[in-house]
Amino acid sequence: MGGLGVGTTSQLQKGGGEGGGVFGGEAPFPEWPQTYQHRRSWGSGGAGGAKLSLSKGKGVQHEECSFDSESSYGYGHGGNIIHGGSSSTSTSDYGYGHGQAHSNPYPYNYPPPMCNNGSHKLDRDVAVPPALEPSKADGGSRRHEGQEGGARLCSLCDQKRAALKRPKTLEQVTSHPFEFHFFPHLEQEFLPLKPLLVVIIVPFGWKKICRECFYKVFEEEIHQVIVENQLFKPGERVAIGASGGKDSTVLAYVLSELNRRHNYGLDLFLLSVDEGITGYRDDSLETVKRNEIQYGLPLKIVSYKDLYGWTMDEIVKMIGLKNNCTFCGVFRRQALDRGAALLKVDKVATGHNADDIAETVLLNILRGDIARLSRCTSITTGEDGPIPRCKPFKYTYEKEINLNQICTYAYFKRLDYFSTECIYSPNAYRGFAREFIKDLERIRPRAILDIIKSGENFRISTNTKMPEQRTCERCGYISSQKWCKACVLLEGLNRGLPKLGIGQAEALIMMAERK
Amino acid sequence: MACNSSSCQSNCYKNDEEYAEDSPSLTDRKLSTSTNGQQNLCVKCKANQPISSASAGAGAGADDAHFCYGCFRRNLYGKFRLSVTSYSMITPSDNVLVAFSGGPASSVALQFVHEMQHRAQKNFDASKDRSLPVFGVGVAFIDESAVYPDASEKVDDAIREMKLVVSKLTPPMKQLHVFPIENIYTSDSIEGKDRLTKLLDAVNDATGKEDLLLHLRMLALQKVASENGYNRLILGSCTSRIACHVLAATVKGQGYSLSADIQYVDARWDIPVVLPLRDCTAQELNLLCRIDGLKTLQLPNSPPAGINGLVSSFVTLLQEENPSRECTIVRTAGKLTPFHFNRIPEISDCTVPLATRRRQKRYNLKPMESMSSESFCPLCNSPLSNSDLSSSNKPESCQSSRFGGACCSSCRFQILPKDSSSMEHFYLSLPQQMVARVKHGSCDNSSMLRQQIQDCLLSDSEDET
Repeated sequence: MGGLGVGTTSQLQKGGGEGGGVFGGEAPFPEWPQTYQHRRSWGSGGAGGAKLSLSKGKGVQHEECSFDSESSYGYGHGGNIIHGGSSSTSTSDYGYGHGQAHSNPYPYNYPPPMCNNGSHKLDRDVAVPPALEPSKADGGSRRHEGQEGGARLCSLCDQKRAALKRPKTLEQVTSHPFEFHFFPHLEQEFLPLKPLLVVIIVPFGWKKICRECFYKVFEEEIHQVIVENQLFKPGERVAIGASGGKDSTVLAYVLSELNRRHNYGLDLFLLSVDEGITGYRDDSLETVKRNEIQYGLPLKIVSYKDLYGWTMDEIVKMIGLKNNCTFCGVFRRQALDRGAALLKVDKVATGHNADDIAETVLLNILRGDIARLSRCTSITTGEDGPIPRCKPFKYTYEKEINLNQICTYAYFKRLDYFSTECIYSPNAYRGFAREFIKDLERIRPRAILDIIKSGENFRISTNTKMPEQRTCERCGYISSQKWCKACVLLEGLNRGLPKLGIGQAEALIMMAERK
Repeated sequence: MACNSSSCQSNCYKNDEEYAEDSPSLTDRKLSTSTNGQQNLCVKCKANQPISSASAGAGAGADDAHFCYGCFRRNLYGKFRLSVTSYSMITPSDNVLVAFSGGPASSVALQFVHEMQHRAQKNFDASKDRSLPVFGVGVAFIDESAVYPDASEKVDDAIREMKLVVSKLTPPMKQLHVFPIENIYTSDSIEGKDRLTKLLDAVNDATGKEDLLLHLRMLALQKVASENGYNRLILGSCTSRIACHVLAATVKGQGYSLSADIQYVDARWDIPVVLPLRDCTAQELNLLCRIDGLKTLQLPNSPPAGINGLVSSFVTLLQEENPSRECTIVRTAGKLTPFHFNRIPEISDCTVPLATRRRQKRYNLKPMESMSSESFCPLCNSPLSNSDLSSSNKPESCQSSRFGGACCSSCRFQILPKDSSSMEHFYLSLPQQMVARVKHGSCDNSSMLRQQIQDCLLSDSEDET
């Protein structure tokens, strides 16, 4: 990492102070270049912008490709990302000296296991979104080396080959690539969002950056979020909710990386829930099992079959495709907690990103759930419960300044993840909300963070009647009712009256107690 | 009264094509009606035919209409009356102004207000002592042809129609005030038009422009009302409209101020604004217009663009999926804590009948001192959250940037021009009322600041000891 200025600027001191306080004294990012500490791209210029729309890996790829052709930027089909040619070699030269996990980057040594449904192969073609794939067909013509005259060096470290481009909107902002710009009006606007929370390093005016610098920017952003929000305490045992999907895989990788680099002193675990969905979860669990080896994190899998005696396949066979997500969601929530309890962890970290949270805010409005609306935006939830959960990616956009961070990160790091939509596809109306958010993001990128901001600022009176927290009389899990929702649903299933569990919990409980 | 989903479902009249074939709730209801054997009778009075079969040509839904015409109309009028009386929107001594755009919602609002007034007039004429006066009604139309110059002819036609409509709503007589929007400027009309165009042109964001026009419209309505001695402003905002506003405000980051905009009463303005149609959906209002033959006018306003357009098509989509969705959205937002100004100011006047005062006490919201906010965004007049306030406290040298600092973050982003020279132009083209809000606001702010640091300040007497 030579060549990077050992930047002990004011920002470093600040970060060091807080980081040291929490995590025990070591300068948090000694190799950081001279960047300005800045909030994320709150105002990336409003409407328009290059539309590199990468799939979230949650199953909407087919709708995405159309944006590329709309791209008004001169970067051609691939949007902002330029592929660095011989990419297979350049991943391993990155590192902080403890890279045994990621030096084993891609499942080449894993012969891609066959998926049961056959339509998804766990190899590069699936894991890498189409827009990012360095396609041979458009190779030379789509590259832009010639555009600005030859040398494509990273404008941060000035040494490595640049691999990414930032949008022009940012280039216009500052004249000098190393001058870090401060936008008072943006600063003001979101300062109060959560005091000192979203301090994120965005070096403005980079034209091209190399992968290494991108990794660092991304990782340090997450580090900042963790430090500022004091998500973890030294010595804690933390389970990472791992589905095998893109977000949780990146989370697992980044957390284990940061844990080492900044001496968080955390014991990390992977925690997966096996819903028992053939052709979907079994394949993604294979991914998680590989991640266990790749990142050296112990893995715990809890299955619906063991916990409840039912797999989702069996449930769907009984109730059909309507409402099956209700069962799955309720059971998963509890299964995660139970798995966490088995692992004896202090916290669960999940890979929810800004888009997910914005979607949740909207859905809670549509659903009329004021209690959830009031808590769904907090970065740590369930602190009064036995095992709190946190979302380190809360401020991580899916597309940050038209750059799909998580996706890009996963791609360049050659992370091994699984991207298929659940075969019992989600209900239409969550789909509507997701589409809506994507549309919003297209015309106003900051809408995502505005939704989160709204969610945080809603005037929800503290004495609004909130459901009282009790423990389930049956299983002892936290519940707002006599029985927890999982027990009610389960009772309905076991009695062969699954519909009753959804609508008429009371009747079901009475029935059970009479017996 | 928030409409709950069950009642709403039965009240939602929709077109055939708006229902998806596979809508499960619809099929359920089909089954239930056919098994009951009451397919052809109104669910309420069980005597008359439901609207759909009574007026097949009118385009009412075939299966979803459950009420006969009489019950449907009574139900709708009942919702209107309930909100008017519950929140004491109109009392006998009032003089109310109905904002009339010619659309279905404001047409129904005008019609209902007229019916209420007509009834009050009859009671007045019949009573011996004539102690209860009849409230006065005026109609305001904001002429926006300055903004849409191509359509000025259409607007002239519309105004002619409106005069006709209003003249028919007698007795009692109602005055129609046609107010060109450029008259919000105190200067003459030509110059006003010029400034208005400049102001709107300075806004780059399509959504921001639309919202600014909305704020200007409110300014105009307030001006009409105060200049002509009205003390209430009635808007025809219906459930569907409010549901769109809830989502749009959320998307624009206005979560804090949202609860101020969606209550029945909004008294942060000089003339309190009331929304008596808050519980009626657009579908119901459209149906009523259709079967009552209320004349609705299509004005050349461009369809909502940007965020607002996206939100309204999203809400339409949701409504198709579940006919009570709009009600649920409004109900969720209704659970947010309202502001202290979301009620009609208490009447201390002894001349007002006791019953009115008692009723007002019962329904009025409890003041919530701790959560009240005294500063407002000069552009959209929305209450500022503490975070907005703390960011606006920076001392600014020039007036235009001071104005910018006083705005809420949402307006700052979508309305205010970014570079300082166009900001200067924008500031100079603003109507006086908006500029004045900052001047008042800044006084408040400094006094508030002074209060906060009161303990640290040394007074002269303390200094001596």
